[in-house]
Amino acid sequence: MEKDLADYSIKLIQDLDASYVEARLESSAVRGFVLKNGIPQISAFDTVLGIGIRFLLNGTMGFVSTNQLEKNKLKDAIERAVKVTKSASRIKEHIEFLEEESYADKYEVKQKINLDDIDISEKIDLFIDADKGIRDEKGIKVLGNFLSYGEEIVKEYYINSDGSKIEAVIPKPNFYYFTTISANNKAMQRYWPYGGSGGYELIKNWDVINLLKEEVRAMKTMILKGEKVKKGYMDVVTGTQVTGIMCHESVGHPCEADRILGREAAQAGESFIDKDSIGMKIGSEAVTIVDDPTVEGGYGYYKYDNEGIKARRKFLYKNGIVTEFLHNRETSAKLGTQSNGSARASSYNREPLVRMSNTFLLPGDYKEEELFEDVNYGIFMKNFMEWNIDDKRLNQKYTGSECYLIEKGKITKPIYQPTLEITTPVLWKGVDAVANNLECHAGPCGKSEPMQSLPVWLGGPSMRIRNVWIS
Amino acid sequence: MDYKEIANYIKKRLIEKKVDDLIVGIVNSNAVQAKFTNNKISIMQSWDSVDIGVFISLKKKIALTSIKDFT
Repeated sequence: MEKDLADYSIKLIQDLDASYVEARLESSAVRGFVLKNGIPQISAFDTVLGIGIRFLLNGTMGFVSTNQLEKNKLKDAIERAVKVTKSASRIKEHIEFLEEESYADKYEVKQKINLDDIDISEKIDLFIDADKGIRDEKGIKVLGNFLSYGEEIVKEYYINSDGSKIEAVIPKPNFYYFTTISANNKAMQRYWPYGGSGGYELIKNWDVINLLKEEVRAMKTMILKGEKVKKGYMDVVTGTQVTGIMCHESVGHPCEADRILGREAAQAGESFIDKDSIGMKIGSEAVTIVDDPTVEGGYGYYKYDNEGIKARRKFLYKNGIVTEFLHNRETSAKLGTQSNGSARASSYNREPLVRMSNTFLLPGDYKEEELFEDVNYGIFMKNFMEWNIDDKRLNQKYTGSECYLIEKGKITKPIYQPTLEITTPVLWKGVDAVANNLECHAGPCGKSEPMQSLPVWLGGPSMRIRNVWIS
Repeated sequence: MDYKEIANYIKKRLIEKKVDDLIVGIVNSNAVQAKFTNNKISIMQSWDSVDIGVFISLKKKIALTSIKDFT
């Protein structure tokens, strides 16, 4: 990596009177392929090396990126960026960063099985076998099966004018399936991604072939035996995937301080939470939701964020009370606090924004089956097919995929695609019991313009929500 | 750096490998964005990039590559 160019950039912009400068040199190698109905369609191999530099000039924030890593071209790009940033100073939003601790560190996520040691043909064969596996299932027709495999190894060299110098190497393999089956004149679709930080051992642990077979068997049961539930208020037990998406969409996003301050209103949206909401009761005692980049193996893992701040666990809701927002250096300074290390950029050519990492509900003491015992009439929504949520993250709905009726404490029969419609406070105030079966799931989280898609984990254990509207 | 030369080299090597079809494209772009928040500029962003994209088909299979590393 051209580390000297990052050092050079810092000095050059400091000499142009910047109060703060950071440079992020990033290389990434991305490989992947897609299979459509078992046939390899596209293989992709991307290599990227570039530098992104952000700076503060008299309270105006500027950002420049380039992958033309020749000193004279870099100098030209920086000088042009400084000029346009100065031109904005008349109508700028005054931005300041508070003093933060600086760090010098180097870290790497180890691969137990190196991604490079497994031939691409072996990886393709695994997914061809996974496709064949679901076609052996009797009594259904596979209308479409789309499998995507990817792996990305990102190497970062970060420095800033406060004295931080951090090097990181993080490999992230991932895959997802998008499967459509039909039977009995009904069709059903499921999409679900898997991802983490580590090596090929993650792919082996996910047991892709059996995972897909089990998924398709569950879909078949829902199509052939699932009954429509009668609309009404009832108790709901959510499985880990449903708990996870709820944590991400209705807790993580509204706790992003840039949304709260309106910084991303036109792109990502706003928040029902305002800057004075710390201490507001939003859920029951059973609800403690964290965002934690330091979870090893997590798809959203990092040790330092993209502003050089040391990562730590953040308690967004603690025992049902709004406790902490997700902050970068800009938002924390505006709200008079320190950054909690939530700044992430999807690539060298994107500014760091306030983002989630691994967001999940902390587990309780119940076994999952104990959550059913106290339900007279309700449903178990094990996973979901679709969801949507409004701009302020207040009103939302989740349509179940694999779901079952609970009667007098027992699971009795499959239910076909029930929909939970709810607001964020009703959802989290309704939670009266949380199980101990914590699971985290991968997802791509999108935000801003230009779009930044980032890997995250979302998760939690199964939980019970009392008396909510199901249609 | 002469990006056309790199593109021509890639084309030549792929023809030697007897691919059925190929496209090599160079995109050199400069862009500026003023991001407004509540009628004030919250950031001025400048992007300068070169991207060589390669598409090949071989025995009815497709492969894509994007090169943004010119070191």
